[in-house]
Amino acid sequence: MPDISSRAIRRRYTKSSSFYIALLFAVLGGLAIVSFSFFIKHYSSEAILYRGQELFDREVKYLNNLGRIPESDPQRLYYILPDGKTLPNDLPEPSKKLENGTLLFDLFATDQQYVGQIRILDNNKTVLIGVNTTDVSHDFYVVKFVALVSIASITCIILVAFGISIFVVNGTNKIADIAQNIMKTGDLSARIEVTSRWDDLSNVATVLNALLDRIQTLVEGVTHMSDNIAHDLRTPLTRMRNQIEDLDSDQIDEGVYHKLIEEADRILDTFNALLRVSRIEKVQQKSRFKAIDFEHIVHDLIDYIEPVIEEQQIELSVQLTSAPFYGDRDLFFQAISNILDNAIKFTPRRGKINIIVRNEDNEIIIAIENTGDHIEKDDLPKIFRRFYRTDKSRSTIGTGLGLSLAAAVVRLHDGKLWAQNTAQGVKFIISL
Amino acid sequence: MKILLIEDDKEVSNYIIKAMKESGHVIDHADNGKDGLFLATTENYNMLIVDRMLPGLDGITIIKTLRGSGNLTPVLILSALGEVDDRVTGLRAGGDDYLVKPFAFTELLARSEILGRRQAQNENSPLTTMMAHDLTVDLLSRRVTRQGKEITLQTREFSLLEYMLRNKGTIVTRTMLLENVWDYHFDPQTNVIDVHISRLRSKIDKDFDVPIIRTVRGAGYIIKGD
Repeated sequence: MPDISSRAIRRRYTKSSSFYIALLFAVLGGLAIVSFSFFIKHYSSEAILYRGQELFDREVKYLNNLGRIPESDPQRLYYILPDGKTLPNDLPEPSKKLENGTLLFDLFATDQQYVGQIRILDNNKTVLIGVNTTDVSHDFYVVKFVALVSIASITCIILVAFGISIFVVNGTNKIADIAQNIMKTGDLSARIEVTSRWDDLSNVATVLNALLDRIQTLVEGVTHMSDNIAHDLRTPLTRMRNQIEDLDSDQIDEGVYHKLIEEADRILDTFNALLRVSRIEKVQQKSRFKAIDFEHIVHDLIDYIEPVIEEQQIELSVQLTSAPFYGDRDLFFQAISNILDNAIKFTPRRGKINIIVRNEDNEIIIAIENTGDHIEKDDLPKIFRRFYRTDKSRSTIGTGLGLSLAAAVVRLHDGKLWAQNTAQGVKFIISL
Repeated sequence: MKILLIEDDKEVSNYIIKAMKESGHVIDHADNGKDGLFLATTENYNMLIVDRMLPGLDGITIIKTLRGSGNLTPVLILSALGEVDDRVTGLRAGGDDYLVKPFAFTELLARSEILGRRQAQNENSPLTTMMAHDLTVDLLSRRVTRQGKEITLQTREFSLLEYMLRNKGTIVTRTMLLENVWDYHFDPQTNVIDVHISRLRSKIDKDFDVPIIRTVRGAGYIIKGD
């Protein structure tokens, strides 16, 4: 594949800044939840009363000083326990017994709540002292409720923070995917899907789409211009070539004549190739698509090109399997022939070329591998550009358009074409 | 050969007329579709050269009308549109060959002569043997002999030789060989055809004094008539 590694562009969720922010939220929120829980556990009404041991100590002191047991009132309950343990009949069973002997009573008749302790006074009387805690515990219930609500909302905030971070990362990844795809395929017609209007990412996407529109127009303008130049110069060039052909042999030296014709043909070939690439790219002509088999096309191609391979003393190995496809026979012949031409050009004498047509799992692979020098890693994706020449190939003949034409043909068929360096040389792969 | 040219571009017409006359052909010219169709139906031609885009009637309609009325005169379509798709429409309409503007005149001449000759051949009985100088090709047994000596050719070499012999006396261009011998329409990046020809030559010409296949530089190859 081209050299843009997907890691560089596509953010993994756990590596994203939004994830870290959400994580920070989770840590801070977690601390708040822990402290609230601590508060609820340790500052519950029971705990307050547990700590409020001195409340009863004060009551005992008061009763000792008083010397008698006063009447019970709604705030205070006093019961003398003759046997020191049997609770009076008009009191309900304590709803809870705390470890230090504190008892909790709910008087449903008056809807009041009391805490009580059994104490022995100075005069050896055993008394159950009850203190009304209805208001206090009510306040604590409110506090507890508020604390629980806070915990719930902090939990919600944390969840929402993660939700937002996932949304943001997905959104940016979607943009990154499109950008990467454009870099990989050069297809400027791709746009980012804008699903809503309210979020900032959609706004960025809209702006990027507008930017892509602009770039596309500019690139098309450039391509269009070079096409126009080629198109407009083709006619006068042909006329010139015809006029050279018309020259009498006594007017001009034979050698010069052929050189002129050859030179004119070379320029015309380049122009024609350029126009062909743009035609294939622009006019998605699929009317000539029909059932083809790469086994036959590659077989015919080898039959056609075999004398050159033999002349270069290149060792050719071929593995073909039937690979039926729906496409343009002539264009594929051209595309694969261009790739093979290129491979032959860069294979040293007595080198090897290996051609494979494979058809597995609904994927057709046509691979052409040659022995020879590697292509610089940076050059690998660039060699499919129009007129692109690596430093090594600058001196070789050719239009500089063979591989771009091959790439255009493969793209027309929704396939992929790429080059990669292998142990022995370079491998071109068409995947359909 | 008597040719009718239907073409509205003055410059192209003048050039073709001049060059065709120099090559010894008789050529009539119509600069619009209606006149062209009139001439084509009233006169007898060996072949027609028809531009696709014409004032009045377009080239495709002319061809369809001619074919509809049973006129089978070979037609070569000229077109500035020039992509494979257009070629297919042109040939489907009943055209016999297709040439994209701008073209080299040698290509037009070679193709025209072959088209004109095809008509003549169709009227004769099918060929079983072909000869050039002292070379004989038996199409039924696929045997090739020269001066009595048998020459073994590979299938593709045989097809090449057969195609050139069928068009003996006219130049065949490299594109024509690709289209007719290999049956693929494409622009070769390198001159592989030349290598095929030189292989064929090494078998049929190497040990003999007179070469059968001659190179026409800048154009293609020719097997000269006797």
